[in-house]
Amino acid sequence: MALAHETGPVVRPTWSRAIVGGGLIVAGVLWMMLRLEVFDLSAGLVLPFVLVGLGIVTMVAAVDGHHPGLVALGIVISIVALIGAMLPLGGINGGIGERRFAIAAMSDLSEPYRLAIGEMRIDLSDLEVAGVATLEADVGLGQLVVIVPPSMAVEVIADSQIGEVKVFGSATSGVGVEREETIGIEPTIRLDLSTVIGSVEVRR
Amino acid sequence: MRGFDVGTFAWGLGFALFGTALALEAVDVWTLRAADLRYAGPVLVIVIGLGLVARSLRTGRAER
Repeated sequence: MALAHETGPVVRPTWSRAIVGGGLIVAGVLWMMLRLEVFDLSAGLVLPFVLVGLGIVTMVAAVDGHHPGLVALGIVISIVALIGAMLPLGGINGGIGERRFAIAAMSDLSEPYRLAIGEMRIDLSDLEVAGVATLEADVGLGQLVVIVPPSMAVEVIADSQIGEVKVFGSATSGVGVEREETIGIEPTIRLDLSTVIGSVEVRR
Repeated sequence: MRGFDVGTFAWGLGFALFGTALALEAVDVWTLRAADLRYAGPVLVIVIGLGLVARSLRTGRAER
């Protein structure tokens, strides 16, 4: 029986080759831009760029139906990239280990203090405050200790997703712990402290 | 051709937007803090809900 329409074999795109090819094009363009010193690619930008590229490939692939493999890969890269962003291994004050800071000048509070894994101790005992100062500090996994002068009034905003927050001896622990309190009248320093897993402590 | 898949397109768009947001965070346009994890739960619930709706629509279309 003759068919109404003669049809040839259905040609479908091979997404694995398209993904590898697209990835190579993006990598080549980025490499060329680095060589030309158009911008400086830091380690923190690699995974976000990979995620954007994968997102574009997935949107294009959607034309040809459902692609669970691409979606699963995107979810994995998203989680890894998010963790990478939360733990600023390449940051100025990021990294792993023990950090101790003695801050005496307001100018030293202009940038947030960040540590990926370990213990960070910030001593404000000798801080000369003019007006109201704000200290912002984060530790991904570990312990964050802030020491304030004995008579200084402070405003504390602290949280730990899993762990403990201790303010002048009063401790709260568990999941999603948040503390917000003012100690003294007219605080001259605001402490904005945070940790993902671990403890935050404010003491004199 | 199996036809356009809205769910896959939405995932791709989500990855691209999320990657862009993380790239902007990496160059300090905005700062992601540990405290921002409090939004992860609601966002996850919304994403799962959207996924179920998209899947339901796809199944319904296939049955018709």
